[in-house]
Amino acid sequence: MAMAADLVTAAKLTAQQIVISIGGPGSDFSEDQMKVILGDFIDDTLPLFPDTPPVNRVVGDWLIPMSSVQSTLSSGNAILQLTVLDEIIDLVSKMCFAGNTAQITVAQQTALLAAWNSAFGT
Amino acid sequence: MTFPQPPSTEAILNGQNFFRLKTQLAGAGDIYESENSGHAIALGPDSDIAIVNVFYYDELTRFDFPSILDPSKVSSVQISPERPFTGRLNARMDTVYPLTGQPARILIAPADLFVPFYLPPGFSVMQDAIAYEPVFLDIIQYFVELPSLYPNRGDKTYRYVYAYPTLAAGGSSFILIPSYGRKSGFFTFKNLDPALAVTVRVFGLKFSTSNPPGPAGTQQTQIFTSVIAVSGTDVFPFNSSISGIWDMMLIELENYDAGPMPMTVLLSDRAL
Repeated sequence: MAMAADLVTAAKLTAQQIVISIGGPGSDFSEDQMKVILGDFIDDTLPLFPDTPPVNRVVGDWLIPMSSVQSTLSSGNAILQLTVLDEIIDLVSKMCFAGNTAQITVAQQTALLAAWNSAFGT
Repeated sequence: MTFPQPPSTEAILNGQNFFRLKTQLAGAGDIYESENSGHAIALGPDSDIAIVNVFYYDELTRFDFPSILDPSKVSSVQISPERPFTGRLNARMDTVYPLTGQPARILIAPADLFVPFYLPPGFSVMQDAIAYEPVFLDIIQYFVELPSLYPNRGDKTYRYVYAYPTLAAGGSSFILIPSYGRKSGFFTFKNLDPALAVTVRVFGLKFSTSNPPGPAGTQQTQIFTSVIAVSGTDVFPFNSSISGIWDMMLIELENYDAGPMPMTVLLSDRAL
């Protein structure tokens, strides 16, 4: 378990923390749990990056493919496919990296980090 | 993302029949946009990135996962040096992606991973030096049907006479070169230092989404080594079927003392 102090650390910890959040190493990777956690992350971050000003889209555009993957996860008791798990890790970590390099406000960066810690950093 | 990014609409207003998105990657999370529909999308000749994801508006995503009726209307294709996408890809600025409410632009993002300012294990900031070659993304979106001859990704050549000087005797000077998807290459080394033999090593790097403080996922594997005597030369013919396909190549010059060390690196998409 870990919390991230900045967005680069969050990006680098995303793989480890997502696996922990859906059951941890040695357990079945729970698809329905992933759906809930990723949905919460999207819900928390979507209001942070409205379509204008355009610089918001440098980060907020990642929510488009992320929401697509989230919508295809089942709410049942299925085990998450490894390719889907990797895709989610890739999207979340890249959004964090984008949040670090984009010229968004400090408040947006702080809120994005808080959303990551809330979803994956417990 | 280099911001602001090149606007696709301006290409149309200028009468071009294509939009070229050529930009140096700014970070590991770069994502780009086009606000215009096109008839094809392909990797440009100067791209270092080999595999690119393109997300676009698609009314038919509900059939992708029939049991769920995927409502996202976000579809994706991957393009690579050998595989452009031919067919109409829509940007629908008159509507939005329903799950996020964002206008339905085409999104373009490297699928290859990029770690800016990678440092090799054991790198000493007191002793070693490292040079980073920039990584470019080059994408062409066609507003007409794809010509029968479209630009393949070009070979890339790097030429050096000197590397960065090491900060202390016995240190190593490194050069990091993008090699995403490259299948063959040719490295030449010539030591013109008047007194020192230089040990040359070439490593392949495969980046990971997980890096310290998480699990150290990036792999660095040595694929060539040679001790080059004073006035000596050596070559390394790179063959991906033997040495692997890597995201980047790392050249290490150990015991390098800022003398002339002519080197050439040629990387190609053609398999040997």
